[in-house]
Amino acid sequence: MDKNTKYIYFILISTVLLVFAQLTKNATLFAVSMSIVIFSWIFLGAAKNGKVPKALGLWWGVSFVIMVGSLLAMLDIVKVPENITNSHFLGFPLPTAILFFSFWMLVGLITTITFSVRFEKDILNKEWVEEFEAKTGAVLLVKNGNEKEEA
Amino acid sequence: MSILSKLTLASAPLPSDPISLISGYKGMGLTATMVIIYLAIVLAIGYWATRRTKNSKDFFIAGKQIGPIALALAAFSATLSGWLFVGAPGLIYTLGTGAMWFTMSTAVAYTILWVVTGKRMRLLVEVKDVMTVADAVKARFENRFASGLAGIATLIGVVLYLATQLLAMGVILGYVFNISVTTGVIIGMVITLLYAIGGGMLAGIYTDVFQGTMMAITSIVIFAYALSIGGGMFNITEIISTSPALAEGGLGYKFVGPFGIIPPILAMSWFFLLALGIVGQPHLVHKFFMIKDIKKLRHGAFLTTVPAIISGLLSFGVGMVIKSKVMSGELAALAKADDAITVFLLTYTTPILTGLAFAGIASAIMSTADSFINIASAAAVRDLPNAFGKKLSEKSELQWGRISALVLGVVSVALAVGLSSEGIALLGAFGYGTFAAALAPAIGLGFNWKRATKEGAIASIASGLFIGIGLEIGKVLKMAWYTDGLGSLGIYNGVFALSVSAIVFIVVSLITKPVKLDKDIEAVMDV
Repeated sequence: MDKNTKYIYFILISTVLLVFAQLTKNATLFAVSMSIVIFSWIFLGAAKNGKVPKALGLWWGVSFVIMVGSLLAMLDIVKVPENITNSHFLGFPLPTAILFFSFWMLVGLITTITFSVRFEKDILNKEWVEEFEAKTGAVLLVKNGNEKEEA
Repeated sequence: MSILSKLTLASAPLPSDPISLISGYKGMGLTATMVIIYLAIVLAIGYWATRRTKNSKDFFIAGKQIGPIALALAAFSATLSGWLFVGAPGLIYTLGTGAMWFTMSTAVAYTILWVVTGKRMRLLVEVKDVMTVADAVKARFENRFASGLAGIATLIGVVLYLATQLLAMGVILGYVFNISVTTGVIIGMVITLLYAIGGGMLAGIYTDVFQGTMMAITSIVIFAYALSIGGGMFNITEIISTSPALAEGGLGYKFVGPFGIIPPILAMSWFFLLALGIVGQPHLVHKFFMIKDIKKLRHGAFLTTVPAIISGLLSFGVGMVIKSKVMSGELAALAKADDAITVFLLTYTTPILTGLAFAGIASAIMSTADSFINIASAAAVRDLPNAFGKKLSEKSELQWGRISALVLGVVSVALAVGLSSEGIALLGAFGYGTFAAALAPAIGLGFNWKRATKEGAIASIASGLFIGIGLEIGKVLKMAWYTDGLGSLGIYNGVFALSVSAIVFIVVSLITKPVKLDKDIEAVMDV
């Protein structure tokens, strides 16, 4: 069995919950299931033989927690509209600031920077590329146009 | 309420009708000159690229010679269409911060795109003759029907969606040069076709780099300007939240809150569809076929996300400032929400900034349009013939690719100028959501899960295509089966279609017989 199938089951179950949340208009369930669907896709994309490298798992796990936490905090504050402008951060009402600075920018920066920083170790390890080259005869690791890079 | 707002209440509000604003605008000559310079630069890049386009690989995938910054800027500018600059400020003016959830998808969209499809698509071109997303589907599932369906989804979605972009272009050029919308549509299409037909994707990528830079610069400048005009974010939100006109039901507070005046599920649905649906956008996925060195994928997600976040700020700034000006009585209420950006530019900024902004808007529209033209012509000369077992020679592909780009452009212009506003609204329905529902599971899950089968792919593409289009037609035409059925439950069509398509893909794959993968495809999926 393909070991990535476990992420597929996560995607399947959370997607079914997402549809259920839409039909029942349950915003909290929608927020949680949406975040699980999104991060299950990301974990599936990064998995090799069913395993996501620890550093990626940790930082993207942190992003997941920030996303879910931000969503639940925003949903809670807007229950009473007058509470929205009770406090401010950099001129934005607090829940709107959570949306801009935590949900949008912080998650955006952590996920992309993690990808960049861990790229050579966890996304495109040189050994994996060499395995690919050996299996397919393709030449990917090139220097100066056509000279193969030393392993 | 601020002192400025109280003072402005005493005087008559400023006009907010773009036609009368333009007729009384003194700096339109300078603005038009800036737009002409922009268009001349785009054409010069197109001419340069045309001289370097020798074969169909150059035309469709830029000769596989694209660097990381060019790829990132091209992906960013192709994603953010004219809607971001024209439609989004209007939506924020109407719905409040909730409309930002479209743009907020950039928090994870590019990470998803790079992680789920990036290296797989780039590795795929090393082992298979792949130039389009439909080629990728054929290579993965070894099935011409699945590939043909992907090609049809691409062709239909692109041509119809392109018409909406052209219409936006016609409106902008109409304002700047005082011409009719139809003439604006034709001029915009002719310029886009000139470089798209000649230089193909090579021209598309390098004009996208220029256009993406223009969009990012314009956005940050306009956002800063908008904040300054509004007296800072605190003042803007204070005026709106305490406005007597929005007092009922705490509407003013909701307007500046994170979900605006729309239900939170709808806001989150927009975010979800745009974030996950990015994997199904053929004009973005095929850009990974073009990158020269696979290691340069490293910084792509970051380099794309940062300008996308910056660009998202423009629509928020303009929409909120115009709302606060209207609520304070300084500006007359807009007759049409989409006029928000034009009214802001003509009322509160300088001619140079207006010229920069109009060039930025044209950039957003043209960069999306040229990508669409390219992938649609690839669908016409590669995907559909391949579905019937035919393959053109490389020389014929280049020749017919250019001819089909011209034909597609003419068809899109005819649709843009020939249809009613209801027809145009219907065309919009065939855009992002349809691509997402039809193609995201087959591409995103298909290349990361070996157990996926061709039956799963066919069922998913077909269900995504038909459910997505069907629901949107039912909604726009207010058909009884929709309004009394799913529509009455308040579902968001795109998310529903994408969810069903993903569930169908997984379930059908699990219940059908697994097949042994081609060894090269297995190698692509093992990395």
